[in-house]
Amino acid sequence: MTKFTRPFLIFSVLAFAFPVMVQAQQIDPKNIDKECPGAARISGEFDSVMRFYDKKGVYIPCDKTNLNYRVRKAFYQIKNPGGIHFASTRFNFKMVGMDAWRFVNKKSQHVFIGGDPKKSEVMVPGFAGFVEGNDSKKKHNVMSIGTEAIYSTDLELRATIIHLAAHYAEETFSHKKCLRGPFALLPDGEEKACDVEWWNGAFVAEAEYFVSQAGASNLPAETRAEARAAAIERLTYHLNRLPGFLKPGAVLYPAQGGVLFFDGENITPMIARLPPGFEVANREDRITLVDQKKRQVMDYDFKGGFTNRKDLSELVKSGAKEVYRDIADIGDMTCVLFSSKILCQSKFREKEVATLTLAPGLKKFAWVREKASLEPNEERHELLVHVIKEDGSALRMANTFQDFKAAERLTAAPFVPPSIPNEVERIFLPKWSDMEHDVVALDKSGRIFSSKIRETTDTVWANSISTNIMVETPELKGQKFRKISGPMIWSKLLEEI
Amino acid sequence: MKLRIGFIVIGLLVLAGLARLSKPTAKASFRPTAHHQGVPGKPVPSPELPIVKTNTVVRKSGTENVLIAENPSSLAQQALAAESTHEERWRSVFALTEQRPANVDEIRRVAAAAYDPSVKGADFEIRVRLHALEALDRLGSEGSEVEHAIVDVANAGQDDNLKMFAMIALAGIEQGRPGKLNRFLNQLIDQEK
Repeated sequence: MTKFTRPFLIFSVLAFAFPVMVQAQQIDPKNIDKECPGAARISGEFDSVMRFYDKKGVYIPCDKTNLNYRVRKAFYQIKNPGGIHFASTRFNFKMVGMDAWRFVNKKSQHVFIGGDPKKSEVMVPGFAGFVEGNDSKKKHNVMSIGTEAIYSTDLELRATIIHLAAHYAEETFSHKKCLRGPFALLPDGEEKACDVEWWNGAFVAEAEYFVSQAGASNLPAETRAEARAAAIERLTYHLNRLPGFLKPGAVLYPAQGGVLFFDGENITPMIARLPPGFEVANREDRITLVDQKKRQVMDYDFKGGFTNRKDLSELVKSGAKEVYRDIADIGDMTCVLFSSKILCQSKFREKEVATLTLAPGLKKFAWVREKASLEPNEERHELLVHVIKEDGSALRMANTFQDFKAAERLTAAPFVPPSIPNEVERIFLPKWSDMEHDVVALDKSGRIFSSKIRETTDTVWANSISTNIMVETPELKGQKFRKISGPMIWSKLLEEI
Repeated sequence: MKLRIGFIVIGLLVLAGLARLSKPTAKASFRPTAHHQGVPGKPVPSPELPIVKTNTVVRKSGTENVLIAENPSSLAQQALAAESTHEERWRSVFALTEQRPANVDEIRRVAAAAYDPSVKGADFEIRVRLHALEALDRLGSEGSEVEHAIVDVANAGQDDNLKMFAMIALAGIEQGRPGKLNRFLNQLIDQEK
């Protein structure tokens, strides 16, 4: 009995001890990674420098559906870029530099695979990865890669590792709540993380890595395209400051002529002279001029001149004997306001036009900010368009072409208090970044006021909570203006490219 | 006594086995063949790869032969398929934008597709749309169909950034110099501190 039992037990134990052998033989052919560096190579590279803790399942080399393998491969690829000609661009901020492995391996030698993101201190969006114990005093910082990472491409996985390493490289790389773009508008109090500055932060470290891959001439075009899109996404969706040379701002029309651009900090001359006989419309993102008599509409051409907008001219002309008042882009339509009529044209290819006739006395379009949430403590607002009448009252404009087409009348809008006494116009600059101004207003005397933010800090995201107060813009004191329009994103360089 | 020693030996073997599970070494029992030990970045033949002939083509993508759906509509659908892996989706959107003649309507469909910014993979959703929009920008000189497609992207969804990018692309077309978005984005990733 003993003679049979003992070898049998030993055999069973051995079979249990080496399931890798059993499982490795079971890789579905379609799951074999054609770029597999090989088990021996991966293990040989990392045995002495990196410890992997496989939380979920076993390590099955070359099985691209196996997270434990995919993570090891990502580390292997970072350490062995395989002769990739990394592009050194002016963008290179020298955080990751030319040696991504050195950057990754500097402080973290412990990798936890398949961890629980709920226990994390810092997470990468989508819970692909997170760091624990982000503390330089700890002997072993643990980098965790979450199960979500299995959906990532190889490039995404490597970038996740770069991101996590950046949190160890600089303890100051904590994220802040996103303040602009779609991640600033998440429902139900959800928040996503962003960086603030262009030159530091874990997202910027990722972007640096992506940029170097995007320009690596000997990588496949498909990977370079992915790296390019990823770099742009990181720099435009996960940074609270607008990148580089782009500025959102108000367009100012001085009484003495010309056009200026005010981004909340700087004033830049935009256009030296406007053609005579034209009025400026209240359009977002464009400078639009309308000749009332000829019913001609022109758009700024982003190179110092104006081009005829035949389609908009036709729309203005279709108002027949009505007095032209204003043009505005509202959602998916462009609308022309006449003294007693509104014509809106769908921006979609059908270019359908709908008309609404109202009582005479319509004056202009105006943007107002209304609280979007019913929760008393939630500071979520949305921009709506009102039609202002000659008597100062206002009507609420439809937000979409479909709603406008279906509307038989416009309902009275609630009173919106002016931001300054004797207000004539008001522009809402997108509340992006930590810019000092988010409202620019013009008063009857031609003075420009802008909002100044008074800041306090919350403890969760180390994020500033702001309160607006309106003050006369110091940079524009002493000058008189006849109109403001916008907001518009502009820079001199944008015109030159 | 002998039985006790036997159990101790067995116990040690169990522990050894568990340790091996958590940290594989170079001596792991799986022995990759030369085929599996390819050098990253170099093509590796895959004899196991099934050849699917229906509605697919074999296409050279730089490092490997991949099987992709040829039909632009299928590519657009695959590029937006949330249940697929990012690798499959990226392969599809890239193939769609590389096809000539370009199918503007299917590229527009990808670029203008709504997405939920609160989902976990929102970053990837953005990248797919950005890539498609850049492709439209490059096609800007190929007629008004492209301009209409970019207007559709500008008007779609709540994504301010994509709207801004579409406006830049449109400005290039209006200026008679299409490709402005690509030039702009080149500047963006070539910024100095």
